[in-house]
Amino acid sequence: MRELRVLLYETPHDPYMNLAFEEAFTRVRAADLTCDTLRIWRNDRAVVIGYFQEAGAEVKLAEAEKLGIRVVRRFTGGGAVYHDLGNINFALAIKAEGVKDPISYLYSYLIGGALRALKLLGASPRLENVNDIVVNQRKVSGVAASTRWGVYFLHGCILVNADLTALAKVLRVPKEKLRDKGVSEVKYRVANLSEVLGRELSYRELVKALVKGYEELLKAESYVDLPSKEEVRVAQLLYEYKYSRNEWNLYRAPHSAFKNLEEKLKEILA
Amino acid sequence: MHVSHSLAYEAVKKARKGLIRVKIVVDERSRRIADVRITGDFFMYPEDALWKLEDELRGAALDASEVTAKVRRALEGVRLVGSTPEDFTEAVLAALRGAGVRE
Repeated sequence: MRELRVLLYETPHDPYMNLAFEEAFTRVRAADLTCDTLRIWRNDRAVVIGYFQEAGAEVKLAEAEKLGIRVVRRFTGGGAVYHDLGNINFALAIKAEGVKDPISYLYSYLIGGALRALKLLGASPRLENVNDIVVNQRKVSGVAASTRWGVYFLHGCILVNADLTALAKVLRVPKEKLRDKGVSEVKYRVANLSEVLGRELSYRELVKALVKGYEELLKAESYVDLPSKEEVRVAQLLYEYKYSRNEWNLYRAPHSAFKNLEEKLKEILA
Repeated sequence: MHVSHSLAYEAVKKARKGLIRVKIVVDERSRRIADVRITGDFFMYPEDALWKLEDELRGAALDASEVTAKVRRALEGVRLVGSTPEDFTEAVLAALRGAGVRE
């Protein structure tokens, strides 16, 4: 039977390292130094913005600083999300043979594990507008994906019992989007899963559901593992030269702008 | 005294999924695009095609058909999810309208 490696490695106090590790485990998987991996992790009070976004256009930066909310960029496209410990993130780095359409593999197939997880928790989720997971007309999760480095990568966050007031305080909602959705505030459209289901949900419950959801989808047996030494080393380099820097987090520089870093990574990943 | 001949123009275009924000700096003397920056929450594969698109547009004449052709060329073979090459063309042209470019 196929195996699915599960990592619960997280650095909630340091969102820069959390996002550095996200790229690290993906690239180490791409280099075949690990096997297919599901990572489940949390950030404490951060805004995570998409690869193409302008930080100041999406986040009220002064307000975020005042509230101690850090702004970090991820390597996938899509929109800004607010993270705190009431938000559970999942990420997959998978290699697959014979995929005809990578985009539909990611956004139609691989997202299915998260949908199964939500069903296991008693919700009736549906997929809306490519990458939104909606339960009872409220968005509880969004995903983003990439095929960079030759690996199928999908990650997403599930609002479980996050502070939606903080979310509304720091995220800018462009008026062009409101016109479409007929809502006046960001907090009315997204919702916490615990609120939608009308019961408390624990981290443990979410982890179990996500692992089972992906075991079922991938027809795999899971085992919990610790980060490999390559993952740790790559994450440290990514942290030092990219994810802890304004050039990456605020200024929308492409990966190729970090040439020295790429040289150092080559020595580990080649 | 240094006199700047550059002016900046902006536009936002809502695609089916995501916003495309365009900022363009125009060199008013040569009537060409001096700089361009496209940001937003769209999905594009491969991702770094965005920087190629910007490179393609730098130096372009302020002419709707030239700009349209350049966007099309840069996005050829690029997979967009929830948006189209036309959305990007419209966003760029919307920003250039401020500089007097008409389609």
